Amino acid sequence: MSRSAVYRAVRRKLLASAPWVLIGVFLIFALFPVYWIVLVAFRPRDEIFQFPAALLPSHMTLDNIKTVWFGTDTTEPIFGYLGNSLVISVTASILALTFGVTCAYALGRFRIGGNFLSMWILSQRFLPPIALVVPLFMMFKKLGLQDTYTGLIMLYAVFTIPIVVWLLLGYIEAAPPELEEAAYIDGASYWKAFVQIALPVLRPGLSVAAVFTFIFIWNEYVLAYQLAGNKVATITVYLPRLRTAVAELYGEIAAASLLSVIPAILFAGMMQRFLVRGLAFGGLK
Amino acid sequence: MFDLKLRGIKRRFGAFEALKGIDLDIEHGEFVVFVGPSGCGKSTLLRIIAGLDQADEGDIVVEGTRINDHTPFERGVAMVFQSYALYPHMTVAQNMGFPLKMANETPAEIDRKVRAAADVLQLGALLERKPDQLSGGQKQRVAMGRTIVRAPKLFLFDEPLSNLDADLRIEMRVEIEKLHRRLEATMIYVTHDQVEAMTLADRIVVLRAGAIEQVGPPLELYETPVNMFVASFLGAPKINFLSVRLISRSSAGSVVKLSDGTNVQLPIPSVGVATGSPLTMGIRPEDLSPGNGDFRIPFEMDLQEQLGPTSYLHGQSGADKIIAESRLRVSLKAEAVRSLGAASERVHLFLPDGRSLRHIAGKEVTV
Repeated sequence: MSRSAVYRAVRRKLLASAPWVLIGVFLIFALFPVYWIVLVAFRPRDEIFQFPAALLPSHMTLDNIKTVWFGTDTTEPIFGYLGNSLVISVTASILALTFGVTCAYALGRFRIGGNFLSMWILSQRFLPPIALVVPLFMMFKKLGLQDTYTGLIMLYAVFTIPIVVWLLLGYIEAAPPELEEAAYIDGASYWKAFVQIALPVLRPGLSVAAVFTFIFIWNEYVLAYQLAGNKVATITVYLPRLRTAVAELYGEIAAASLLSVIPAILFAGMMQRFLVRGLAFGGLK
Repeated sequence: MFDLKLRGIKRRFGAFEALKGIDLDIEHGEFVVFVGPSGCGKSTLLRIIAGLDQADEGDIVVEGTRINDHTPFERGVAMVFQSYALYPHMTVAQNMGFPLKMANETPAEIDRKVRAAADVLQLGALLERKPDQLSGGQKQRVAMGRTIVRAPKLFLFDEPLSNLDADLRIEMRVEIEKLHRRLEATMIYVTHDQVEAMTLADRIVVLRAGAIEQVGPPLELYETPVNMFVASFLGAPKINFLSVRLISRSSAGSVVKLSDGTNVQLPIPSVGVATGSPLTMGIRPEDLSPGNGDFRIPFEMDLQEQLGPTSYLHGQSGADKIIAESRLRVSLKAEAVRSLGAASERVHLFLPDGRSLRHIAGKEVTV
């Protein structure tokens, strides 16, 4: 092989590996904080502030996990908050999906309101939630919804309906209308064609929307803190409470963070079968 | 019984007039094919008959009852879509049973009828499969199966074969024809394929730009097209058009001058047409041959295409492109074929606006 041929071969190899190098750098960047949380969560307290920090733990401990799970004199146990988050996220997601899919179907199939109405629905998400806190606070106070499940669930459902509508509009427009037309001819009413034909066809889109709304609600902090947070407090409200006046419980915060992402990971994992097909198929084109 | 009358059906989409007033009578048991180029309104008309779209004006009358406001189901129609529109999450059996389920029939009855239909269409082995495990031809059969289970009064087909490959298309065409004979049901079939139209139809309806150009049995349309559009739409290769000039006329016939100056006597009356008018002569490829004929047209051959049973001779006659069909299974030299013979009985003459003189023979023509 001549020198230039060797040079070309090396160059080709380098170019071919370039994307993998980039992906690797990105993965380190994205996953290192996660790794650090895991590390801190299972590390004895005295090692957390050790300098220089060790990238591998000298020995593991479950103390932090135990503290947040069972609680102590100064820290509350996590499971009540996890339960609250679960109830609120699941109920609000179901509501948002139910209203969102019917709304998106009407917009997409029957062209109700043209582009204006669908744009208006999306525009509901232009404002950052914090801008709405004061008016919402006053409404909640008047209606007695402060610090209630009902209040938060209704609020989150309303907040995520636009996301559901916009995700599903793409799927609905991509799905052939002949399926429902065939159902009409076969004797189905509009409602039956929607429930028995359109909904099953939209299942990948519904899964994507379910994951998005669930994670959005699970992670929401500002509204959960401002409009509830005493009797009804979610996991996102729990985490900052571990920074007590006495001490910053970093190990416990890491352990609680770890526990708090598990439901979202489990849910996304359950939906993954539909997610991959769903993301590839429509919606986010 | 099912006889269908369409009266003044109009449909607009914004500024676009998709149907400009369609009048048509379809009798019980007839197989009617709507043909025309894309955008001619044939699918829109079918959807209006199905009840999937609403006419802006006009009446759809079945057995004396206006059914414009009836749902597709109340009309008792069944439809096969171009995309088959099989429900992807249901098995073949569930797909075929869906109309029966909607009609609240018992599971036992549904099962019996689905199996009977599956036997007819040789789908018995596939009943538990999902649509994505079927080939194109099998999907097509399932779509047909779904229509026949409930014994509808009217079958509608919207380009059902256009997604199939050539062999399968011929096979399914025969299946549909058999189905029509067995069920003796009224069928309306939309296609842009003139071969499907010719082979399947009792009557063909040729549509152009939202209006009916001609209605009649396939051979009638083939032999006496009302205008150049119908003449060129039916037949492959297409009919040849030659520019000629009218020299003299009588009630019995006309004399026209070809591009090379020869005069040809044709048995087509041209009463009312001014002598000297430019006309278009139409001759189908199979009516032109290198052999004998009542008259000859000049021909310069560019190319001979061998198809086996026949060959196509491509070339020019004056300024006009010509294709002739030759049944001689020999290679022809371009120098050997300087002209083509034609039978004057088979020739068409068209006015400058496209109307056929043969078709309006005997009637007074104003140009």
